[in-house]
Amino acid sequence: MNVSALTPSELKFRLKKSGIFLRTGSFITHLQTSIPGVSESVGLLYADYPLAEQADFADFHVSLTRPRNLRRWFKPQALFSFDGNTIFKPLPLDQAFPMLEWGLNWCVSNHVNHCLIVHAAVVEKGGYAVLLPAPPGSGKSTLCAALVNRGWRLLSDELALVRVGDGKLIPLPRPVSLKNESIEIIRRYEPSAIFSRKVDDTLKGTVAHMKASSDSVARASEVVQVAWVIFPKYQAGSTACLETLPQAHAFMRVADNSFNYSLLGLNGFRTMARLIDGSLCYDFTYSKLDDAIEIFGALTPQASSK
Amino acid sequence: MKWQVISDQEVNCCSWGNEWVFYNKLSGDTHLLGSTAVQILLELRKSPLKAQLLTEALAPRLQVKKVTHEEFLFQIEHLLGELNTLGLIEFS
Repeated sequence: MNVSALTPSELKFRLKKSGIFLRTGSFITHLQTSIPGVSESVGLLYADYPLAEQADFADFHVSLTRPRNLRRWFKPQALFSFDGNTIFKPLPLDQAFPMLEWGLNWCVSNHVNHCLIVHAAVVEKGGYAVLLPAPPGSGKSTLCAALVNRGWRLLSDELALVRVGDGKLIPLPRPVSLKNESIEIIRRYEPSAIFSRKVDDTLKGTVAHMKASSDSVARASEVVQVAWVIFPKYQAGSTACLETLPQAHAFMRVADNSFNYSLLGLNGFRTMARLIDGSLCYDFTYSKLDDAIEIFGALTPQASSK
Repeated sequence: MKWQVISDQEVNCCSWGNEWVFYNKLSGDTHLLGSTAVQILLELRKSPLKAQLLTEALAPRLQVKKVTHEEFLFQIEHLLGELNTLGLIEFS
């Protein structure tokens, strides 16, 4: 059963009482909240995600609550809890849904160590994935959102899970996080894209989340081989340019963007080496999304990947 | 005083073209090394050597023509010190 099988009031009731067991990729999150805005956004953006049976094991037990303090009367807040413990300082109530998304990212990046986790977006077409590692502000999510609205499958917007052992990518399709100007850019680029309500004045500025396609969610169990590692950089006015990056340099840069490379030790090194070995590596500068789509459409995997 | 690489058991490496990435299991650090440093490690892997003999072995391979023997020896000694700091080589 998917989230969409529940009416808004049923979803709200379940979230408030026993919680839901939400399956995102290979993880199950037990989510409880009585905050109406979160319930609405979950209903909108997670409509296609399967619900696991309540008796099932959950990887993460999280809740969003309103702290019982004096502020609740004049500046209400939201508090994210993991396994009953408070992880972050409370944020304004209005930011509850973005906080849930950030919290879920935290759950994965801090607890999943059977994979090499890279701060990167990942999209796939024709059986081959592009890994897009980049620091915040590089245009990674904007590019990712554009690609998934032009036929690429979303594997992840934020956390690339590279399987230790065979180096394949485990999908974790969740809503794409967009901020500031990127929100309107993607709204204009794909008017049919579904967004959560915009939330202003967060630590990242104005943020909104774009729904992942039903196909991406339905194919969340299909692991993929990475064929390209591309470091995107948005540069206003620039001509789209794909520049070959020496693989050894790509190795070091992907390692810099990894959450647990050092923690995995030799396994991390071997997994990274396998990933880079099978990939063509590039720096990519762009300013126009259509140009980027065209260049990505022309990518060909190296012979050994085929 | 001879230099030697730390045990093979403790170092893993991979290469693409003439660039090498080394992983030191003892420190948990990963290093991207330039070609001269790599040549030093590969030479020391064959057998422990003093800096002077290492310099003589590497000079023809690295086609050192624009610097004097003393300058090249100085560069090699400097790199040996760096590799020692990284924990990739040690005194034998």
